[in-house]
Amino acid sequence: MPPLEVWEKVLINADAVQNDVHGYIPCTQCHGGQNVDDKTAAHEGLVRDPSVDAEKVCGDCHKDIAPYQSLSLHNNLAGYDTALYSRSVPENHPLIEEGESYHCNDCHATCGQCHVSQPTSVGGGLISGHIFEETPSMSRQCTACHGSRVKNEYTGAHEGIPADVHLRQARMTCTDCHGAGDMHGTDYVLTGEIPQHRYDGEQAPACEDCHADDIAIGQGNEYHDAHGTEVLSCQVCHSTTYINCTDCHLQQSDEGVPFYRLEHEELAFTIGRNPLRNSQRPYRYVPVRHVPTFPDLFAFYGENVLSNFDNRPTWTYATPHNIQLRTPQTESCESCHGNDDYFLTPDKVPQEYREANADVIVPFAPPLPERYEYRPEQEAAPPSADPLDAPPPSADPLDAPPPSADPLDAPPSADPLDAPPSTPDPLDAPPSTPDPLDAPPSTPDPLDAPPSTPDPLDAPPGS
Amino acid sequence: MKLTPLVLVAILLLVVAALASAQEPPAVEPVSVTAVATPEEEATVAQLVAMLPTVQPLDTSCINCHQDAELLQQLAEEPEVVEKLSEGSG
Repeated sequence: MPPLEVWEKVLINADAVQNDVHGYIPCTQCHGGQNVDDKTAAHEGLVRDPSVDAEKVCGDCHKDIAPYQSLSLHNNLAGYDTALYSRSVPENHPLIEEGESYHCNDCHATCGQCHVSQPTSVGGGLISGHIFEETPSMSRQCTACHGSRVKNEYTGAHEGIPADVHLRQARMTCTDCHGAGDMHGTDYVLTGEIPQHRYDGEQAPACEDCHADDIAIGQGNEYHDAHGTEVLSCQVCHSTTYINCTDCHLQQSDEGVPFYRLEHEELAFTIGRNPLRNSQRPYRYVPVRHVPTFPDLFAFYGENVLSNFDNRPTWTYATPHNIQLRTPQTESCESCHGNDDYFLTPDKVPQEYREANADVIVPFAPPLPERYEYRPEQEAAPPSADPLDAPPPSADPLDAPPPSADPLDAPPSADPLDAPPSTPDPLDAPPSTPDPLDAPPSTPDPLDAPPSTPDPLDAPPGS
Repeated sequence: MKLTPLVLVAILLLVVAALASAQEPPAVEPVSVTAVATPEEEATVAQLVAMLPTVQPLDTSCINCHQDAELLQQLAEEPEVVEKLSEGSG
């Protein structure tokens, strides 16, 4: 929608407001100022967004929500600090905080910025004449902030890429998946796990919340049967091209106006190793998105502020909001197997960023399983004898159960991604052997190796 | 009409009922009742009253101005236009 005029932002619907339970509260009780006719005097001491202090202003009535608002990532922006602090050192944190105060802190969402007005970061303005809306507006509140990624992906704003199937076919809005408990932080009171970034803790929402029957093994979907539920995140097959940004410069003009300059944006779909692999996100492969960071992100505020830049990857775990049933990846097995184009192979990462992305880079696309090579000779065979239709062999390491312990908490040697050199996983080949990052794609991926004992389902028909 | 035992009993009951209704009601002595709340009861009532929602006077000056679109347009101060310096998706 077009930006609101200044006067529109503060125009109230008096009749509706007075019929709302909040209409029993005088304006000045929350907003300060004075109830007088003179404009200047009336606005003296005015608080534009009283819900900045949620517990004080909203907490008298909303005792079950307001005290926990500070646990919400929308409110505390902990994800920013988690990422930036880990790339830095404690003595540089004040410089980061100074930069955040100019470039990030407008993004703190208060109660009012989801239920009464548009968020401050997009200019504010009452959404319904100061009526308190229980459910935020998707366009004027949720995607007002989450625009360049979520909105453009979900609504199909990128040319040639359709809108997310959940919007196209089900007309689902943000709040259909992202519940109030997550937004308000009250979910974390129940679990006792306070998230430090958006992928911290239990997946919420999770695809299987609605699609459990579709995802379950043995339901007739050969792709699901072949890959199991813990090798690929759902988005590896069911999302498509999304925006990636690099090299964001945070600066201020000579007049002190903060701004940013993004050097490069690119639409791409890239599969990488899962940098957050744990029991809640056990996938080996996930889509990865390049985030708008680089070592000199905070150069305006100090020298070498992100002195531990390589501590985190610049390609990060991603859950693009452009889900499709059919994608280029689902066209055939060869779409991904043996196709480096979809994978974050070393050649796609500049040398100076390879250390930061060591946990994400895929040496080469997993080749097709050996048995797949015989498909042309077996196409005439009865369907039951086609190895593509056969259930995966039980000994296939791709179907191995996830480690019971959280691999992120385990000592390095216990992490399957960091297995000792004897483990024949090309992702973890020891340095003495040829660099796995340079290994030729023809090297067979042991994950796709046939089981040690012959699978009767792989036997030629008639045998 | 034949006076059967059943008819005789019915007549007898009617006679008894008529005699009973004809009697004067018992006199009731007036009793003086004085309801005096104890200090504890008064405190409880005061607490309950305090919990009742009170209708506060609305801030009519605020509302009168902010619901008047024309007045707001007259009084609006356009913010200083700051050149958009940022480049790229936000």
